[in-house]
Amino acid sequence: MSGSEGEPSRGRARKLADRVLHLRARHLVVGVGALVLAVSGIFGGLAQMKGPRLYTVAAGAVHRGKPWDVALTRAMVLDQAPLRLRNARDRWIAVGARVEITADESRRDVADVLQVVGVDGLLDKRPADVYLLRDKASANLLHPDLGEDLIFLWEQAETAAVPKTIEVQIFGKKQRIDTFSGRLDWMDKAPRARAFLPLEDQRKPS
Amino acid sequence: MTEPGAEGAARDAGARRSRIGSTALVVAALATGVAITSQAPDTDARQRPFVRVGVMGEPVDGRTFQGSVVAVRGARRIARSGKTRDTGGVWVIVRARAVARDKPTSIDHASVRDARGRTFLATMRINQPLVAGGYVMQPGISVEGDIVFEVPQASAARLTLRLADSSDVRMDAAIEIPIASDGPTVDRWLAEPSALPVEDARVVE
Amino acid sequence: MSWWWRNRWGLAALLPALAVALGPGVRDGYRHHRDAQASAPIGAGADGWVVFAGAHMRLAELTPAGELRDYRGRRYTPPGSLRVWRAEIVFDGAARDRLAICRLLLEDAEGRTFDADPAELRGVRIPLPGCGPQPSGADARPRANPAEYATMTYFVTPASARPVAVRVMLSSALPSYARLTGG
Repeated sequence: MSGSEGEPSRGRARKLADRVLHLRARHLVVGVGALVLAVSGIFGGLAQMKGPRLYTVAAGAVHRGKPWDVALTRAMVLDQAPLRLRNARDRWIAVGARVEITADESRRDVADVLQVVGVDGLLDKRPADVYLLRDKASANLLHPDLGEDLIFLWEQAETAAVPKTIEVQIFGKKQRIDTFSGRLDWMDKAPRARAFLPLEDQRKPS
Repeated sequence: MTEPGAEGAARDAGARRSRIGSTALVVAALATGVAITSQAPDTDARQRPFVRVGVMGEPVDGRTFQGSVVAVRGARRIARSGKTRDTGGVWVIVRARAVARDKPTSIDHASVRDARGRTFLATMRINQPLVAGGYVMQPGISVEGDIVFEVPQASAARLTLRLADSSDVRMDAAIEIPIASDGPTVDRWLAEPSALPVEDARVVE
Repeated sequence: MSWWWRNRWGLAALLPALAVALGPGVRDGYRHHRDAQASAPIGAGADGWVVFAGAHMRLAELTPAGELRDYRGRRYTPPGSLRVWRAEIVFDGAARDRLAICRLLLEDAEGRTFDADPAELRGVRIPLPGCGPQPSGADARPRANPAEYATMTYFVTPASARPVAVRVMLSSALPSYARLTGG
């Protein structure tokens, strides 16, 4: 009897190797790619990506991030503000926040910092105005390292109910290359934290 | 006489070498391409402005206008158009002089850069006398006015002013002038309780 | 046979191919840039009128401005380094609609241009510049021909400047513009 039990399997392995090496390059590449995909699938590579996690912050706590740090202070219902209501009988939902720019340049996109969620009757998702608490002037430009106390205003229709608590979301952005322009820009605006604030009714009693 | 098996093996070895060689060439070409593109300047670098640097007191050519810095003041409070504005940082007021070259020109970009490389645009809390639509200069007529910035106290001592005739400074001329002061000067500015007036721009005779 | 000889036709075609590939883009880019500037002046015909954007116009007068007053009635005296100019432009009736939004510029001998109603004249009582009829009392003299109307426009230049023309521009008509001389 010649050879051991290993010899037939070694021969089969060599035959397989030879067959692989004699494959056309196209087939080899497809095969390797399928193998890589299958292996990554075993390790979760094909699993659905989870959405970003939304942190819940308390009123007054600073949520740090880019391009701004934000601390939500209070939420109020107002009947008057520096900006005039579009419809005289509507009301303002106002959110106070301290915002500090953490990017390296002054920013004009102050209206992107916050959004109010789940409140009926808002005329627009974006705030109608943002103003500085210190002098009631419109806050259309904020600067790095200069925190400012701001009031964000949303107009709510007269017919909508005034909630007792509102959810306020803090948005952030990422600095990356814009694939259209090739330039570095702040993009991908997305909520990164939220707070539930009780709504203080500061309207004049009628 | 060679055996047919040996000839076939030699042909196979040759084909294998050829395939390995082709693959290596493709990989080398890809690697060279990656090396080149990683070294090439990115879009922001390619489209950067043409900066002309000057010194305080001397005019600098900004292609469509000439600009110079006459003086730098600072304060905790400023007064403009009957209103007083305070700040959590420092107001830096740059007195600048500018003249348009051969057509009506306005300075639509005004910023200061601090030692950390952060950029602060001219404030919009007041109507600016000279920049951001505040004044359109006519050729040959020298105009002097204040440009007002709001910066953190820690940044105020070392700033570089940048002016350009377009709010988009890409691939266009911009002038830069360092406007350094020092810590004690900034402290003096902040200690002054009265509001510093910001006046309208005026023609220089 | 060398590589160069084998590929001679391809090599010869390289330069023309490059020109064809890049040429239209460069030409279009240049044209786009040039057409955004006022580079094609339209002058007066034999009758002294300039025909532009379907309207007729001419420069009746271009002189240093006389006495000016501010809105409080006080006399305005410009700084010695400046000179204020006044241009009277006559338009035909068609200009009323066709030149509703125009830009007026003063051109000097050095080719520099100056805006109408500049910041240097803020607070001075002068009519708003434009190509449409101005309210009565805007200094323009009434015309004998009722189909025509005249406007008065004010400019400021350095005292040493020598004005030679007034430009009437419409952004939709660029690079063409009306160049009014005489007056």
